[in-house]
Amino acid sequence: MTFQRKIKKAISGNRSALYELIDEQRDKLYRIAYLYVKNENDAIDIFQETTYKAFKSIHNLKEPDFFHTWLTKILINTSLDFIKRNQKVIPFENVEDYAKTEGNPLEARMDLMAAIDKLSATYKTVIILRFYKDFTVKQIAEILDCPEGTVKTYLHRATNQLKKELKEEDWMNG
Amino acid sequence: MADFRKQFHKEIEKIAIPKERLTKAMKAAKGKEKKGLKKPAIYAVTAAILGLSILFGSAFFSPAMASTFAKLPVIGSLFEKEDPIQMISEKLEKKGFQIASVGLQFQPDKIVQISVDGTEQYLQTVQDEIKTIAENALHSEGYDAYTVVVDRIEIDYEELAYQEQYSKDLDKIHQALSAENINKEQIEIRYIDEQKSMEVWIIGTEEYFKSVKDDVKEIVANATKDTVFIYEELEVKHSDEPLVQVISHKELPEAERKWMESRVISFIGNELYGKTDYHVRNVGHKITDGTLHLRIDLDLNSSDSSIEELANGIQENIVAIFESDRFKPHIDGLPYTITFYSKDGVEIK
Repeated sequence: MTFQRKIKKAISGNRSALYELIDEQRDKLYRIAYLYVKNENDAIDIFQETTYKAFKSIHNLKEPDFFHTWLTKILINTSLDFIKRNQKVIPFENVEDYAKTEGNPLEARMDLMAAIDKLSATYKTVIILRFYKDFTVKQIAEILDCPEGTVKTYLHRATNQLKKELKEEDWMNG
Repeated sequence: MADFRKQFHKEIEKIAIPKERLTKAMKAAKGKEKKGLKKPAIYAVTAAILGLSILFGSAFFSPAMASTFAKLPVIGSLFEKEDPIQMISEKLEKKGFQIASVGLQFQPDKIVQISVDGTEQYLQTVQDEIKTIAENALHSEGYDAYTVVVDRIEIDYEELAYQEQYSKDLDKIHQALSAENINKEQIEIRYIDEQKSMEVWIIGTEEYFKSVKDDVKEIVANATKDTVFIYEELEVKHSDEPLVQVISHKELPEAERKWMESRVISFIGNELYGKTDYHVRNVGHKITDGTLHLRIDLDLNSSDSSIEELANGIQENIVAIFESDRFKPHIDGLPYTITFYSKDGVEIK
């Protein structure tokens, strides 16, 4: 059955259809949540809550075309709420651990993830949405509920900050 | 930028996926959202549920307007004309298929959805046969407007078991209370699993509340030992009015009750939706002051020359249904109106 058809079914109350649609996105959703909280348990919590909210409010979705942005919006909001509620500060050790398990030279591995981690929640969000979910600026604006111009500004600043982080690392590590 | 994106993807995909925990999480979320108990037996989910009192009916066909009417379905014998869901469910159950649910959808497409309870493999084995049985059953009743879809559903047995235990434990509480002459109408329980909070609301006057609250607290605390109700603190609260007002259909005004209990509206819905020759997009109804107002949206534009005849024909068939032996005894004399609208929103006639 076509994707469009499946979403329409989901909107009209078919729970299996919605379950399947979310299941198809499972890995991506989890990984994004993980990027925010950096541990499995919390990421699973966020994922579960996102699923719950999706089931609860799928009938509010007007256009099937907006399904992906709609679902991502729930995920992002849930992740940001979670962080706010728990005031999580990621200790620097965790970042190093992550790098170690990859078994690769610290410089090459740690740079990108560590740099992303250092970004504020907003900047991290736009980077994830743009470079992992491959959303357009328009879609990101939809998800964040802000003007496209703002999204572009955030993206610009976020990538600049990343570049700075990465350059500095390089410089620090010689 | 392209390199950055690629690298970013690579890095992220390195994050390990705890597959089982995630699947469990999804099921838990889905189950938690569902209101009410999901039974493993076949159950009918449909916008219209037919009652089972079946009486003899008669065929109706107006020879007066031959041309378009020739295309309209003859109502045929109303005797034993079943609700399509019921019919399909029974046939499949008889054949021993493991069916979780049979559903009917009118919008945006007319679909009969049959969900099996089983593995993907099971679905593959039975899919075609089930589809054929359902399609034959529909066609035998003249319902040609539906597409049959057969898929599978995952029943969360853990959630089911929890729900059953929840009901049992709730009964336990009420029994303990009524043993002390505190009845169900005077008590409402609010338990929120996620917050581990338990509220017992006492409905009644302020004096009544004060006189029983300590006893209630003690009784409920005892009755909830070793139950699904796990909480940190038990709060006893007061309300003058019941928190949830339930209106049973017995309290509806008599005319409205008669319309609902006759099930004629759902019968008409099934008939009109189920046959493509009716060209019906939507059937809506409301009952005000005992009068049933039926609104039928047709799938033709107002410019279509045959639309008036179609509307007339449908109206005559509906009247025939009202006048039939099957329904007349229940709704005789009750007033009704039938209005038709074209696809472009113009009222017909």
